[in-house]
Amino acid sequence: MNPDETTVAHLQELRRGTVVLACLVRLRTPDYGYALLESLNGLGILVDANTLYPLLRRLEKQGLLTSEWNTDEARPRKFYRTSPTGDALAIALMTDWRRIDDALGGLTTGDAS
Amino acid sequence: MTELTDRYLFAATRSLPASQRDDLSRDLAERVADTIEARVESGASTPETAERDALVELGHPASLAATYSDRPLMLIGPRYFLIWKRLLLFLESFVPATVAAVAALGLLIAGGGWEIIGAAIGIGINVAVQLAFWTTVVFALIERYGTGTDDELGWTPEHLPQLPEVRRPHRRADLIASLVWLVIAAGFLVWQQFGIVWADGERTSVPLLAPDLWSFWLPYLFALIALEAAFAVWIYRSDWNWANALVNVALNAAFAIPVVWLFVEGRLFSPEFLAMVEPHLDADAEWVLSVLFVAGVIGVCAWDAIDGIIKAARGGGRGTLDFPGNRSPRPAQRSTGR
Repeated sequence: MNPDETTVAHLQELRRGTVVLACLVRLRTPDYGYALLESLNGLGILVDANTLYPLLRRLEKQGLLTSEWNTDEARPRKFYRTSPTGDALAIALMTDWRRIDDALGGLTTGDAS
Repeated sequence: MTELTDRYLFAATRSLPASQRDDLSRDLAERVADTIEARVESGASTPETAERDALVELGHPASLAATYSDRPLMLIGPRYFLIWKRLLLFLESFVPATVAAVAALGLLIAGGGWEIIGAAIGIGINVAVQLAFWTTVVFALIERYGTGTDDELGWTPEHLPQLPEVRRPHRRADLIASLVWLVIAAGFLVWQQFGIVWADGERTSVPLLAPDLWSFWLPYLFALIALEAAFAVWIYRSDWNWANALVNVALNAAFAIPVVWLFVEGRLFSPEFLAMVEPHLDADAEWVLSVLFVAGVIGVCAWDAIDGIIKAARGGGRGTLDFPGNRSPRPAQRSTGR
């Protein structure tokens, strides 16, 4: 494995959990797969379609998202929404995320001094 | 949605249980349609080619379905891999060789000739392949349908291997025993020349081994004994590893092959000795004794060679593999050194 591949692998690992958190927060407003993909990537949360679509189904199975087929438009689309359980998880994950961020901040400033 | 997309959806979902097929098919249809739309909007494809391009982008339908699947995509996962590997190595280390040796012995006693070597090797290979196949099948089934926890690995801290100095508490005694045994073997080679054979309650001066062998093969055996002694010291100093396990195989082969060859050629025992024994044995007894002699030499050497390999595979120490299933409760060996 060359250094670039190593970097890519570690970045993927670091981002894996953050995609879940981003989905849970973003889907407090219901949306469908492709629109979610676009909006997350637009916000700079980089995620691949091959990751996102299966992830949405998995989160639904775990009861963190609920879904509903919207047939108002020309094509039916599955709209996902964060469930109350998902919302509670999002809060817990976000708290932990901030704690890690603070800790890493402390680590780097500690380094500099 | 066109026929091409329908075919893609069919291909992607056909390996799933019927109950999940429609659900995933619907999800995928939405994804395919959105991907097509996005390609046209972004100008990546023309409306005519967009569908085909979108399907290419999604990739092989089976791989796509796999990303949605909860089933493991490996035959044996990390939970069972190590126990599978250890069990397989343990079984392969002796079962095929044992079955082949027993089969060869049976064929020999039944009166077979040199062709039994080929037959025995064939049987050994067959057993090795079957063993690997069925062991793997069982583990693959456990991987898929087993509902276990890590407890199935059956590991507790008591199973940790002993440290080298504790694990080989008798290594000095082992070295001394090896060297004494080799000295006895060398002494025997000299002594047999001057009469070791008793006949009618009286020691005779008939040599056991053919005196012709002094021209080359007996000195060769003395050299081999010297090498074995050096080898025993090596083991004492470095414990078993792959290098000395291979040397051990070579040493055993260097002993067994010439001895068996000389015996089969009728050059091993002295003619006087054979003439003395002859009247006491009928042809059948002679044949069975010959077979047992050859099997004994090969068996002892093969066992010693395999034992070395097993010790090396275990990373030194005892020659028996230790894994859940054959583990015998043995009293904890603790260092009493203070």
